[in-house]
Amino acid sequence: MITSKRPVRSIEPMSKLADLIHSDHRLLLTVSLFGIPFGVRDKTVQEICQQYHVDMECLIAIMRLLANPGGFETQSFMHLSPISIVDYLKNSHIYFLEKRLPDIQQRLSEILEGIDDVSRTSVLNFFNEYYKEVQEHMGYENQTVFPYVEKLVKGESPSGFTIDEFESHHSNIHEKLVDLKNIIIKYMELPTDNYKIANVLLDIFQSEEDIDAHCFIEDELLVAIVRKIEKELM
Amino acid sequence: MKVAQKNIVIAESSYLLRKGLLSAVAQLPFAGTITELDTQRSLPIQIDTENPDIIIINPLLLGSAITIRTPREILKIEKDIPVVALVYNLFDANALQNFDTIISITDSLDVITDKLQKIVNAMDESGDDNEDLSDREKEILVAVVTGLLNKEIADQFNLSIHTVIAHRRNITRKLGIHSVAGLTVYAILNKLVDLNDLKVI
Repeated sequence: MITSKRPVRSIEPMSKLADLIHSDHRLLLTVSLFGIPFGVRDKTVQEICQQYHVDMECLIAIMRLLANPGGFETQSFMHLSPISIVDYLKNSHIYFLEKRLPDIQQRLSEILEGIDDVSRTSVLNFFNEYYKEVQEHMGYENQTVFPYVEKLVKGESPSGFTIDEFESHHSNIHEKLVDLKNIIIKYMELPTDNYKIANVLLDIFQSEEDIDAHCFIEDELLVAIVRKIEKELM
Repeated sequence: MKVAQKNIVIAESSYLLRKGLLSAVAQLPFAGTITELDTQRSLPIQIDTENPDIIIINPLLLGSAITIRTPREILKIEKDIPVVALVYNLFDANALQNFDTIISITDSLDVITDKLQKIVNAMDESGDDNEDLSDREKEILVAVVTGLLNKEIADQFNLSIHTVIAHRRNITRKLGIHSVAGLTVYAILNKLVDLNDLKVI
């Protein structure tokens, strides 16, 4: 789960986007996943959202949720468009599966060069297994959960699935990353440049936080909003 | 060894039962902060905020998923936090196997104290977050990574399932590795297993 490390300035339509990012760098990824390019100058959140056709309510909700998960008032965001949230989550899936994790895999493989084959293979297999786990987890959401939400928004009430089912099956996908960190930090002596190892570890730490944050948005925001729509359709 | 205070959370929707259990638990020598969870809100998120050492929960609050997944998976917690079931309805005995112990509504204060004390003892004994596994823990680690189920391990070593779970919890806490796949890597790196013994590698 995510923790808020310091009090963050309040996130409002008139806040300057650059100031928000300076006050909490974890918002960087969110901004990118909304398709907002950098070079934001002194523009406000509102100006940026108009310029790039971003759903501002959704951006603000997700930024607030990430900046201060403990104080997040889900009830005040029940009017958000579930489609905007789903689009954001889909983008995140592409990012994790096609960019972030393959990148870690590549660099992990580099730092394992020079150790015995059995150890190297066991660690790389471990990472592959993790990758498959994330792929399945996100694939299920892409193929089952998101289409369900999209149908629901169109006013159809698809049978055979409810968001409760998703919630109770939504598994934790950070466990193996925690394990991987520990394996590298505590149990491996690698004949590699220490800076390279530290960089991979930093990336794993950050990914773990980002993946937790991603799941938190699904559990806390998406589930609540979809449940409300389900009730209205019943 | 000094008595470490344990932070305990209680998740039970009945006001009377919750308050009753709260007052019982508050009398225990190791009771630290005791928190009641709001059963209307997401339990994993609340548990994450509270950071408890022990969780006592009515298994009904875990929903139907409890028949196919462990309480720790549903609550999204690390495998080294004991989860105690508070049971007062008929409940599928298989689903209760993955709890560390079971408190029944008919238990006396002595019995409740005894059950929780055992859990705390097991936590404190293995206590120090020191990597050194005991010989028994190494044997169990090897059994786990070769793919045996808790029940099979219990039979092989003539232990109860609860004891096997307690050993596994201690292994995980000592090593800081939670998944079977991660434990497998550890066992390989430390030459505790031979590759030929492993089903999947």
